[in-house]
Amino acid sequence: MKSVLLVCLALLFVVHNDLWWWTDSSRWFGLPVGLAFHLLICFAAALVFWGLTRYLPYDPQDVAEVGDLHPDASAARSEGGR
Amino acid sequence: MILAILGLYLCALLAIGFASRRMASSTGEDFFLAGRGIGSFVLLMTLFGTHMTAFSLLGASGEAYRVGIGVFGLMASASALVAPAVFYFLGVRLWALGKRHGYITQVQFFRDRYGSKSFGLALFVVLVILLIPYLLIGVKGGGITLEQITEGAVPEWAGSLIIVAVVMSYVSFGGLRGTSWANTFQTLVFITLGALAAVVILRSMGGVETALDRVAAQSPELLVRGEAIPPLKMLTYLLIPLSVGMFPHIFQHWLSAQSARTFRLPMVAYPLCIAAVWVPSVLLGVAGTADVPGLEGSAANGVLVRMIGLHAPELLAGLLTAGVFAAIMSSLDSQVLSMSSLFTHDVLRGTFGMDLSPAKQVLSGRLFVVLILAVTYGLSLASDPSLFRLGVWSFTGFASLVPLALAAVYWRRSTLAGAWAALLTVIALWLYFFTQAGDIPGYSVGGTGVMPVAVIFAAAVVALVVVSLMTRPPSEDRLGRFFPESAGLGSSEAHRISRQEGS
Repeated sequence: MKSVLLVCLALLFVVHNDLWWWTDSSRWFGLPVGLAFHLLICFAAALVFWGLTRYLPYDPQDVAEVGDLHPDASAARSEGGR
Repeated sequence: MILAILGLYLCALLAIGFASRRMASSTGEDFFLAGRGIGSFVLLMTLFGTHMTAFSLLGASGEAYRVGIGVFGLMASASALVAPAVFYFLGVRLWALGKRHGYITQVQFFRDRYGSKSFGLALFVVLVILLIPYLLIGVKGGGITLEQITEGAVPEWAGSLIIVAVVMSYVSFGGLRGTSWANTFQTLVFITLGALAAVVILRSMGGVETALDRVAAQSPELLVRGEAIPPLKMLTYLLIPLSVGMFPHIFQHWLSAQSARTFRLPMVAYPLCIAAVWVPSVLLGVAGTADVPGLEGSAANGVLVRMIGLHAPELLAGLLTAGVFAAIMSSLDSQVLSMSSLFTHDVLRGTFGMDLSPAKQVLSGRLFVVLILAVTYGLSLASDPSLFRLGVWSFTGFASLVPLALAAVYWRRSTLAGAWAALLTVIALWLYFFTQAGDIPGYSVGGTGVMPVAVIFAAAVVALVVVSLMTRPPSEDRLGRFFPESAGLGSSEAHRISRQEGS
């Protein structure tokens, strides 16, 4: 599934260069197509990253263990800012 | 009215700064990284607020006025794709390494990864030089904007002084916690007010479709990308938002995250926040060509202010001023704090070897915040508006350094010599392009549309790879500290073993 999501992300980068609408002045949802399409790219990016965050580069549990190596990090951690 | 609203807004910011100080402890890690305890929502708001400057309100509408709707794809949706990808592939890994080894600054990480103080010092100098114009643009831009909105009642020097004084207060009092809280408030303010301005103005113009019909009748070229944005520019401009991967202030915010999960909301919501800010700005800029035609050059950046004057009550003008200040200060505060952090940890401690107690680190951080802002203010008075052209060059420099970060966390074979080669290549090519074309607006290599960042980035990658492969690989001991999972062990097992070794 992660591979599928990474391919989707790569596709978004490809279609970001939407040569086929370069001079098209038609409207989508009341907006010029060159703007509406890139708005859709923003929504699609949010969706893809929603999926990808399930596969973060580090498993959160591993990172919690990694954090313990630095003694000051946990000692100085504060509740503020949460 | 405008000044009263702005005054209330600034008082609210100062109150947030003072409130955050009550939660602080006197350790360097608490002052510079909020004790690595920042949660998801605050991280999203503070990353977004730090990344977006006043350009996303005033500059974006000005660019849309000049170039048309293509600005959204060129700058906004590009960032919506690239910035979360950088958080995903770089941010979380650097956060984990920062937490593991106790890094507070970006330079500490690179110095440790490549085992060289001199490389760290060189990188520090480059980062500071690239950050200075960025700071100046915020301070000077705020002064100019307030002068324009108040029609000269508040001179530029006074507007800049207000920004500097307020940022100085809440950053030096609250450190990164105060900065993050203030950024959260400010980001909410400028997202909301940008959208509110668009709704009020476009309704006054008869709705979005009516406004766009008027634009189509007068300047149809603004509703397509056409010749204004060459395809190669669109393609290579995608590299510019990579700069978030090397901004010292973004790096510092990454390290302040509470856990890996904290990054989830920023990655998902970032593209939506970009759309929420940029779509209104671009629409208002394009619609402005129908209402206030004939603005030339930098005067186009004032289109939003003029539209508000035509279509909205004075209350909205006051609120927009607060929104512009919010966008400026939410970037300036993080930049100043990151520079203060770099001077404290990389110059005083790293280069001069000063043994500073936690309390002295905080004191040093506060003094540097005051000093950096005072110097920035002085320079902003002496500089002329042409400095705004430096913005894209600053971003070009940061983006071109990203191969260094990628190699440091993903490529075991990258070496100190390779890192030096990449850094020197970036410096040489950046200086070459800047001296050739620094004062040419919209410059592209050979007029092809290719942005200089594409050439510098590619050359840095080649230099890094070739020189790394020609030199001896780093020691296994050093690599084990940064790539425990690839030493033939499962990551949990590797961490457990290295923890035992550490004890």
